[in-house]
Amino acid sequence: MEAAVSFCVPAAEWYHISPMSATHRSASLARGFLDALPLTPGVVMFGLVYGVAARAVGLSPVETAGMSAIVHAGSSQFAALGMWLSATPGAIVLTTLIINLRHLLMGASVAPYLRHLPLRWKMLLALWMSDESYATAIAAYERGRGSEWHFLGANLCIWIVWWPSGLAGALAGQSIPDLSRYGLEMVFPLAFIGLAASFFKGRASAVAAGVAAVTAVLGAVWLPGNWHIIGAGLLGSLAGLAAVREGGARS
Amino acid sequence: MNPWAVFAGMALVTFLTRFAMMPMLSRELPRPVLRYLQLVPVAILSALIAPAVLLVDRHLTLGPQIPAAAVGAVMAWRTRSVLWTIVAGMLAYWLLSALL
Repeated sequence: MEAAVSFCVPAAEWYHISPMSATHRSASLARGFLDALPLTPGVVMFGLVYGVAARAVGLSPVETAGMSAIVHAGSSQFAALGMWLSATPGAIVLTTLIINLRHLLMGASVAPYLRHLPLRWKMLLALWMSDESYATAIAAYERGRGSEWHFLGANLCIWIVWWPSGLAGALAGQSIPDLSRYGLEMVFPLAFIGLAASFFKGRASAVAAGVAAVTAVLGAVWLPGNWHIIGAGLLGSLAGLAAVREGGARS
Repeated sequence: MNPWAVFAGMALVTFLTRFAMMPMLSRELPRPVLRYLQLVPVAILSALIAPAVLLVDRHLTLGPQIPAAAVGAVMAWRTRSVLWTIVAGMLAYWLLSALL
C-alpha cells in the first residue's frame, strides 16, 4: 500500500497551482489576452482566407461569422467548406470530430492544472480552447504564472479576432490582396517556436520535441487530415518518457 | 440543409474533444502519467511547428522559411519572448526572400 501511495505525488507539487486573489484575476485575464496577442496576425490571415472561401460556397456573411463564433476551430471549418456542397451534415460533423481529436491530447495535458476548478470553469475553458490559446496558456503555467483567468484571457483574445476576421473576409470577398505574398503564414510557426522555448528542460523534452517533429513531418506527408499532430504528440512524449527512464537507469 | 444546425453539430463535437479529458483527469494521477503529460505540450508544439516550416502543400520544400525559423529559435532561446521571436523571424524571412 505504501508503495502505491508514494507512487502518487500531489499534482500541485508538479503543477505549481497557487490560489488567486480577486485583485489578481483581472490582471491575469488581461495578461492572458496580451500573451496571445502576438499570435493574432496569423489568425487574422487565416480568418480572411476562410471568409473568402465561405462566400465562395454560398454562405452569407452572417453564416460565415456565425460558424467561426460557435465552432471556433479553423482547420475543421475549412474542411467543412470543402465538403459543404457535396457532403451530408453527418459527414461534415464527423469530419469535424476527427480533425479536432487532437484537442483530446491538449485537454489531457492541461487537465492537471485545472483539477482544482469546478466543472463549469472547465467547460468555459474548453469552449474556446484553440491551438493558439492552449499553447499560450500552458506556456504560462510552465513558467509558473498561469491560471484559469490567464487561460480565459488567451481564449478570448483568439476568439475575438477569429470570427471578425472571417466576417471581414466574407464582406471583402475577392478584393482582398493575396496576403501569402508577405509570408505572414510564418507568424504561426514562429509564435509556436517562441512558446516552445518555455518547455525545454533537459533531455526528455528535447527527445520529445525531436521525435514529434520527425513524426509530424512524415505524418503530414502520408496521413490525411490532422492525424499527424495527435500521432506526433503521443509518440514524441512517449519517446521523451523513455529517454528519462533510460537516463535514470544509467545514473 | 440548415447551415446553423450543421454549425451546432460541429460546435458540439469540437467542444467535446476539448472538454472530454478535463474532468476525467481531475484526480491525482500516478507520477509516470504526470511526467508523460508534462512532455505533451512540447511534443504538440513541435508537431505544429515542423510541418509548417518544412512543408508547403504537404511537400518537403527548402526555402527562406527554414533559416528564418532557425533565427526565430535562437531568439526564442535567448529572450523567451514570443513577440521578439516573431519580429526576428519575420525580418529574417523577408530579408532572405528579397535576397534569394
